[in-house]
Amino acid sequence: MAQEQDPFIVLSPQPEFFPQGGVLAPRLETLRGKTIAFLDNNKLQPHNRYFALLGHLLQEREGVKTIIHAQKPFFTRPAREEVLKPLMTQADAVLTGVGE
Amino acid sequence: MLKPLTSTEIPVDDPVAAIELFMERGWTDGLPIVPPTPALVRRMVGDYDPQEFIGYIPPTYGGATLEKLAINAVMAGCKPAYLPVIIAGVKAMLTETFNLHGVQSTTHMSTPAFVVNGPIARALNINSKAGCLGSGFRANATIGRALRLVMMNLGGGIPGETDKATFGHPGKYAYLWAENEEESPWEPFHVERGFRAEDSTITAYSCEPPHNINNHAERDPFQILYGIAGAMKGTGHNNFYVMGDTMVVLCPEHAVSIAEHNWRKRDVKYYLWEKARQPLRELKYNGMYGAEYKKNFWPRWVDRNNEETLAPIVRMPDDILVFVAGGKGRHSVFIPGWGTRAVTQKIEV
Repeated sequence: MAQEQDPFIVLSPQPEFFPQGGVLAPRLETLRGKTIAFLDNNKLQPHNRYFALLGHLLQEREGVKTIIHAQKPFFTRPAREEVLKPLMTQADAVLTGVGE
Repeated sequence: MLKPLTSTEIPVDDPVAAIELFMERGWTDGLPIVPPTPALVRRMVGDYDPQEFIGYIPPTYGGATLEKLAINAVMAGCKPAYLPVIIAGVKAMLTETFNLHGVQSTTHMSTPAFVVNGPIARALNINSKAGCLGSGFRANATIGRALRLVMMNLGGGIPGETDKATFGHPGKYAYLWAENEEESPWEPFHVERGFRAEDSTITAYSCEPPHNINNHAERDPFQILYGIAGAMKGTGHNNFYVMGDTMVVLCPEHAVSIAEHNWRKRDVKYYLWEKARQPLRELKYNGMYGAEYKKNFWPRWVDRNNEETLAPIVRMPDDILVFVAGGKGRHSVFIPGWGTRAVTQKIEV
């Protein structure tokens, strides 16, 4: 009679935990009357036109009160405190992204 | 008493099933792995505390403990003696100036290359001589591979997903060598950076593959280095637009010829910085901004209103990192950077 073999155990190479506090900010119930900021990574010129158009549409269609445009100094460098601080204190939401 | 391992245990039928499972889950670099059994991981961890926290690896910020580095080191085929190099390599990549988040997610092909200096390179047989940038050497291949697996498994740098590289390059399997300190006529790189000769270090540098520079004809430093500067002047690589650090690895024969004329390493850097330049008219259709080239990251003294102005490859002579490595033959290499800083980290043994 064949004996049942013990399983072969390996350990997961994947992370078991992630940074504390990495939770989503409270969602806005409405965009009406809000201040929305764009953080451009300064990678491509078309970003400027895209964010300008998006800001215009958000104001026209969604009633957004104010649009703030901010820009990283360069796409390979992290945004500095002086760039981020006004966004943290003045904006209700910030749109940003990576890539092109 | 040894602290327990705490990683999730995965039961499988046998080692082959483990290899296949890791392939299916995207936990490898495309090559088979050594199954990380608790016994092998325990052997890799040795006297270290497996729960020692190293950092969060971007861009997905998975928590890296020493146990997790050990698991990935086992998978890569490392010996336990290699683990201190891997720990230091990960710490080097996690410094802010290295910008691992950007390196791991850019469309550019760059990947971290690692250069080891000091006695540990010789103790572990990390190749610094013939073929050191190629295949065939366990320490170079497996330490480099372990660092790549850490970037993938803990940092989420998955090609085509978070890793947006248009091409990537072969160095994404493993990209690690040692400086050939024995045959270099100058002080080792880590001593130049303020470490003691008896210290061991690892330098992480995000970059393209190496570009070979063949010069069997010349013995004069001006002529050897003029040819190297010529290779560095190629447009399209990031350095001319983003600056940061760039790297030249001189073969021992070129380095000795140069040093025989009493040139120091600093003279090499100044000469290359002086010669590896391009007029703005040659640069203006490449890079991120094309015709809007005035946005490039050049020093203020580059006159953007004069297309004949020569832009340097990097901002300062010391931003050209000069190593000596390789075997016999008169071939040196230029390795263009991604546009950030190389970071040198002491290896604690």
